[in-house]
Amino acid sequence: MPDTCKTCCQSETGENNQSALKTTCSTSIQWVDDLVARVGKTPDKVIPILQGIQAQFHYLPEELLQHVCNVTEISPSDISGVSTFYSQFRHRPAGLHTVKVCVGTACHVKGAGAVYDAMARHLGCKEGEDTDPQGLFTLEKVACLGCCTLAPVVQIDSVIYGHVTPATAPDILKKFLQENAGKSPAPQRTSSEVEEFGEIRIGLGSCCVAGGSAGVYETALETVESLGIPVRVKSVGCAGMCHRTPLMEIVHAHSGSSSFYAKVTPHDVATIIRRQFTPPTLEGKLKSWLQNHVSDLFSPLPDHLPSPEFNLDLREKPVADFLGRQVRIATEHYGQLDPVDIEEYLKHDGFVALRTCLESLSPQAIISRVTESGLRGRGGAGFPTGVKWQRVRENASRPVAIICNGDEGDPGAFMDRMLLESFPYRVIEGMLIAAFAVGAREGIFYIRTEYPLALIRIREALARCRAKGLLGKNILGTTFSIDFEIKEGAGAFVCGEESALIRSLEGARGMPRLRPPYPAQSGLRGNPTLINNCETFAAVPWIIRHGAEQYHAIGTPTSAGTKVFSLTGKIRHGGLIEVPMGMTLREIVEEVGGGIANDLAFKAVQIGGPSGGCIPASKADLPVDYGELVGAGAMMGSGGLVVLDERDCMVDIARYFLTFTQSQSCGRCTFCRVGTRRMLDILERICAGQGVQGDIERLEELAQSVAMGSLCGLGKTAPNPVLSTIRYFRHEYEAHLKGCCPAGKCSALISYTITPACIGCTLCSQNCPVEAIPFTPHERHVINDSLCVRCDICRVNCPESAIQIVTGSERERLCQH
Amino acid sequence: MPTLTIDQQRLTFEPGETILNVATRAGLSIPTLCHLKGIEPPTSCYVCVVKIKGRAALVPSCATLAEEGMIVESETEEVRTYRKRALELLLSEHAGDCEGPCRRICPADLDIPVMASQIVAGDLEGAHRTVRERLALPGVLGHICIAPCEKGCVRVAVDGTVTIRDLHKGVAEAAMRSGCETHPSIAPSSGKRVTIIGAGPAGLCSAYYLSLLGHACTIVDEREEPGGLLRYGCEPSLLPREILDHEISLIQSLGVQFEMKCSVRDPQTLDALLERSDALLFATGAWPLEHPWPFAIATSPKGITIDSKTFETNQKKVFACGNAVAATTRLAVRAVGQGRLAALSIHAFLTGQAHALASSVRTDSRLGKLEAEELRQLVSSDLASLPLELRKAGSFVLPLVESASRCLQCDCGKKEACALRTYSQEYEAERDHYRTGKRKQVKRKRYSSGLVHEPGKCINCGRCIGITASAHAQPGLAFNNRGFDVTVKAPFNSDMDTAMGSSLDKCIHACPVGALWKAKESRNGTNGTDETNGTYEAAAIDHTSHRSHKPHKSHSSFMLSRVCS
Repeated sequence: MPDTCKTCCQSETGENNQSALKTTCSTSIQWVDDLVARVGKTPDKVIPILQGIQAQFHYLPEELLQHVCNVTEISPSDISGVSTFYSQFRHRPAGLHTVKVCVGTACHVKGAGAVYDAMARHLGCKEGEDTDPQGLFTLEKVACLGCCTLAPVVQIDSVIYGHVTPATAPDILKKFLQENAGKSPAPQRTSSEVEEFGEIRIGLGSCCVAGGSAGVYETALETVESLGIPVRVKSVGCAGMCHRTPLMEIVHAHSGSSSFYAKVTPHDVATIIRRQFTPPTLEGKLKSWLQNHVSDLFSPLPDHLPSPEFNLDLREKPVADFLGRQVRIATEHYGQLDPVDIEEYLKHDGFVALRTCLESLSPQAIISRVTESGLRGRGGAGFPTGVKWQRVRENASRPVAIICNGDEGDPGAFMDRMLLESFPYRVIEGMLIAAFAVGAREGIFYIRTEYPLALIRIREALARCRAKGLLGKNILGTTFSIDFEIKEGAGAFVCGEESALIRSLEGARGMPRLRPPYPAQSGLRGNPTLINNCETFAAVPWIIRHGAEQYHAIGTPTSAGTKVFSLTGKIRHGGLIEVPMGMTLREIVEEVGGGIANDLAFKAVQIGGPSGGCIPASKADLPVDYGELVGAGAMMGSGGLVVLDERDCMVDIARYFLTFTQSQSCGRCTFCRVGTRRMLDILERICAGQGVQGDIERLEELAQSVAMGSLCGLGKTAPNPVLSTIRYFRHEYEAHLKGCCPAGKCSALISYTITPACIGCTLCSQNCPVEAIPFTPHERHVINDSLCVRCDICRVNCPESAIQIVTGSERERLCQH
Repeated sequence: MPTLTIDQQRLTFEPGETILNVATRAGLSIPTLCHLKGIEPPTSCYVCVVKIKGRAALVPSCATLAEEGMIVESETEEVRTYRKRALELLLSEHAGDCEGPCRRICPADLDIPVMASQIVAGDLEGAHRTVRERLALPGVLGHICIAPCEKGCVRVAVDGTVTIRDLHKGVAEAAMRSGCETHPSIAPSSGKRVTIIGAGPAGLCSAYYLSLLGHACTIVDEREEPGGLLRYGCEPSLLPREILDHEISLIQSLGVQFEMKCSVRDPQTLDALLERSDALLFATGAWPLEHPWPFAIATSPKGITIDSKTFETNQKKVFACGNAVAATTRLAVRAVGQGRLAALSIHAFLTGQAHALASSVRTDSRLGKLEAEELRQLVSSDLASLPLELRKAGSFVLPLVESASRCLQCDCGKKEACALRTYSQEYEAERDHYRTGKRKQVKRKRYSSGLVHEPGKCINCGRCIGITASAHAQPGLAFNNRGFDVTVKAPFNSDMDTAMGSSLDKCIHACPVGALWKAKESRNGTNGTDETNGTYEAAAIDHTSHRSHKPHKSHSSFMLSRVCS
């Protein structure tokens, strides 16, 4: 961190940043000059420069932007266009801390809207402001943090909190201030490499960290050190069982046996370790014995471990179902490897495929093998990967670029994040093979900035590859040379589209352009460019090692191999799964995912995110296959699978996705820019009970026009969530037009009411954030409908389930009384 | 040379040529709002879409390269429907009035904002011509019109209406006093004879405009003096007779014959009149109940039944307008307006172009009610209040200029040159089809360079951005934000005109809507109309010529496109 003057940076007390706006002082100018010297002056550096300024000042002071124009080749119009395009950039001062409420699909269906409202209420932001009057917190919505299994999720600065409810929202702010304010995250310590006794594996993916695994890891280290047990405490990648985080696995070196512990707290860790390992020294033994007895006095933990509460028996049916049906290719060796430990990757067949390619396969042979494997692009559209490589290869006389697309913007999906965080070397290896096959001379990892851990791990992994001679000049001693660099996306869903991604790399607004020419002919700076998704690359080493036939044998004839999904929403066992293509949606939901949580009815699966659609439970026997999904009005997409139950309103889901696509449209084409807005207008008025006859038909007409008249995939597929919900749930739309939300979700169409089952316990009254329930002990409570904000806190808190949601005619009847 | 097919037409093309280019070269018209020669195709408007056989989605023809053997559909029902929808979507984000609300209300369609700006600029001739284009009796109406226009005036909500009626009254009287009343010149004689029954306001006006169009008119009336209800229904204290007489004499001076004291209720007389005429117009006012309608003409209790667009009755070459059609409305200004429209319709009938009249009404984008904030900034950016030295002293009394200068000019500065309007009309795009949400905010800023910037009207075509970028103008323009919130902005809040630099005029010219336009001293481009050649067809019916950069030709096909409005 460079020095900054006091006037530019907010004071530690958070006392106002109004004075902080004097940014033209020489120190900040100097800071910008240093930044420019570091990053570069060319027009394509505009995004990194803006990201630097944003990170330092929490917003983009205009004076500094003007200064950037003075000292670089970036023009004022470019800087204004670019800085207003990407969500990452702010143009007005922010509070000391940023509270980001994730409004991804999984979070949305689990009540992120109410969490956001609760936060806003608690912070007391003034109308039109997003920062509290003290300048302490700035409240923002974020498209998706990729921690969907912990929904609803809130991120404050770099700390992620899962399972937030409107009732706990204020406590989180308090907790954050107590525990984290002013602290920078402690660097992760690593344990000794001694593994005489075995390993303690702790998942440290973003989800796990949000679930508290960092604390578990720390405590495990401390315990092992203090007791002197020769065991390696290892951070491992995602095991996919996000619904049970934090996860800890203990592997005994001698017996080879392993035990899994789920939902471990730091407090339990020491106990578990003491029971599992006997310290070799007398001192350690004594300490362990003493601590055991002390902890037993205070701890409710039963004496004999593993306890059923923590122990995860792999033979247990739900676990067996969850893990047993999966086929691991992209996520091979899940939960066992330290993600950035290159030696470990090498021990597990790492870079064997690369070596095979470089030493004994011609580029053409590699492409043929990939083509024969039937691998299709995992970014969503499913274009045959081998064909794409072939087209790039045909232009290899010109300088070819290769890009790994890690700009996973789908709300409700986190496959790319998990692959980059947990299997960085596999993605790198796949990308190296592709680079060799197409003759690439430069390579770029494009990773969204919302994934800090993925960025750290890839950066680290690339450095270690360079040190090992796996990247850079003469890779593995051959004549093949290439290096990869990392570019951070700045928050624009549309940049997942390849031509927009390229525009963004060139330092422009991420606006897609008309194809052809495809990037294979003219991509980055006009050069032929190969763009593949992380998951596509991750499948390549396996294909090379096992052969195209073996890969093709998995899945369906038209969709070969496996697909990684993030299984979230109202599912019992949510997580990151990899299943063979051809498995039905019902198998995924009911077997792998263990069915719907809370014993509610399975209503639909939203697949493919904003480009996909909703498949109703009645059609859930549909196999996962590119063609089948499109036929059903959905799309494979990048792999978000959000399960919906009977309490989810399908019109609300359509409205939710249109809100997203509408805000993410680059704004170029009339149909997408205005059309999606008009669709959203109609959906909003339907949800608000102000729909009019003909709205459904108007929606269909618009949907068809937007699909037909848009340039890129975003616009072409944006109507899918609307069309598929109308197709399968038209009756719900019609009910809304009649003032009824059958799922009881749309706040304008529902009321809360208290039934005679009420015992007058006042819990609802005490928890109501807007005092809509008078405090009347021992009497049946009454909700003042006009004050009620439909936050659902009372219903959740009622011990007698006496609070009900009413809609339609029932509501009208109640309102009349 | 490679070839492709557009709407069954085989066309050759140079490799690298776009479909739009090929079509344009072949004389096929494909509409576009964003494409501009010399800049990279923005492919934003999607009005130029075509369908290519074998492709699911539509493609923008402006950027799609022609390929050998391509089969392109452009003028099919399907493609036209999508073009129409694109236009409707653009109309839904286009916050602007094509016409001022005052003019929209005026039954005679007087272009009030233009008249006001001409008054402010001291251009008597121009103001008088503007008035005469729509009002054959401007002085008369100046006294007796109930001025519905003033109720529509946007200023009503701020500090009271512009006194519009006083404006045209003042213009007419000033012209009368100075003796420089100019009529649009008369077209050569067509040899056609039109008989108008009734010398009231409707009859007088239709005779005025028919004469200007070159037709020989005879007004037949049973009273002693012409004027109808104006003379026999208005107190002289209300309508000074010298004004009425003067304005009738002006009509007479165009060669209109008056046959007074003629029994028009008599069937034989009527038959004879019809016999000698190429067209006959009933402008009789309310028909007395004791007399039967002649010619077996179709009627209803209200009056004669007509085609509302063409004023035609069920009888060949017989037309009707004014109170004879709907006796309940006794508005003089409506009679004046209808008299003119009936004249245009009869002209179309006489020249064999009647079919053109059946087409739709002119597209008119409408704002509706303005928010308080919008009003505030509209008043503060007052376009009409020009510096005093620009007002030519002499012709007008200062109070008139002052009240005219209160006009906010809330019609569109590009209402004639607007491509969105033209195409919307051509494709019959419905203005409110997609107006489902809140419209954009109305904003208007006038710069010292004369540039008027109205961001609410911008349809984000990207032409100005492309022009400034290719000219390397500094600081240039850029799209800001994303999605529906996209706007064209000058960076760091610099002025729009300086941001465009030397490309300013090019941008103003290229802007397909009224988001960028140039305010002139007077909206009457005096050298715009070719006075020597200009007949009424050019000067009066085509009120556009007063504002467009180039003089319009006066051939009748152009005129008809205006008639339809």
